[in-house]
Amino acid sequence: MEELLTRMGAISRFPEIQYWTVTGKFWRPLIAEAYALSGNDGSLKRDDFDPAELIPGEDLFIWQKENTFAGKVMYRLRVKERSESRLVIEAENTQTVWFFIFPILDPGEYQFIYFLEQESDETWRYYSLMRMSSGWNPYEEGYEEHYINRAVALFRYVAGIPADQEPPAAP
Amino acid sequence: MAREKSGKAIFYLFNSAFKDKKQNGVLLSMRLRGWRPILMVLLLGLLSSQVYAQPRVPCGEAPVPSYGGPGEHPNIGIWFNESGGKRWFPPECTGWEQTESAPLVATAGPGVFITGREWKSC
Repeated sequence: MEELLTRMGAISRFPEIQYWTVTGKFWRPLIAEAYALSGNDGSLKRDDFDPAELIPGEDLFIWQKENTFAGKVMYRLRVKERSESRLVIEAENTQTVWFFIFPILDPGEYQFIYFLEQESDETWRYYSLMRMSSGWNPYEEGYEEHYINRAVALFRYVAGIPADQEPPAAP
Repeated sequence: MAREKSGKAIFYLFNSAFKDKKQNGVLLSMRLRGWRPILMVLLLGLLSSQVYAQPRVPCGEAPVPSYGGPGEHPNIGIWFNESGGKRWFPPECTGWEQTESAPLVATAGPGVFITGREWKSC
């Protein structure tokens, strides 16, 4: 559990998450830059979260620059459950996401949730769900490979599997 | 390559399921020719409601997509507006608002080992 929490709270290490870009055909960081915040304000930069801070009921904030259409996003993290055998963490954008000059996602419309469950002494299972609840998305059908590679990149990061150890999920 | 197939399998499985059900629907309508139209509509409606599996988070139930076995690659499901996002509403355990979602991307990874601070895939 401690290792998991350390990995999830190590915001400054997120640029290590590599994904395979389908259009460019190379590995690149999924998140170009990221840091933890001490509040819902991008200027309140702080060190990574300690596992002791990842507790239910606490709102934590991060800022990151993604190599997705969302670009620069501020998220609120919440630990929903934390026990010896189960960890549930959710994240959602706290500010409007823009696509060029168009606002496409209001706060709370870009959400992630991670379920990590202990399977045996040394083994954990991973389930994540990402959703956008906006009426319009510039990347719908036809972009499946992009979503697949990004999802696998996040899984490999949490699992500690070097991103390029295996072939890309969607080449 | 196995991972590639695994990554795409769920997605394409849903699409092929849709086509199969649609074809079944056509067959049914042919066999039921002469029956009351309302019955056919009801049957087709029932079929269309089962067109797509939907994501199911691990809150006391087996998740969709499933985790897969040790050593396997993560299963990924993607749903857009017309392929289930509109019909899926988050369960209470997520704490999310009951709004439509598109896209929805679910990833279910098999067990991973933790050995001290070193992580290894199965």
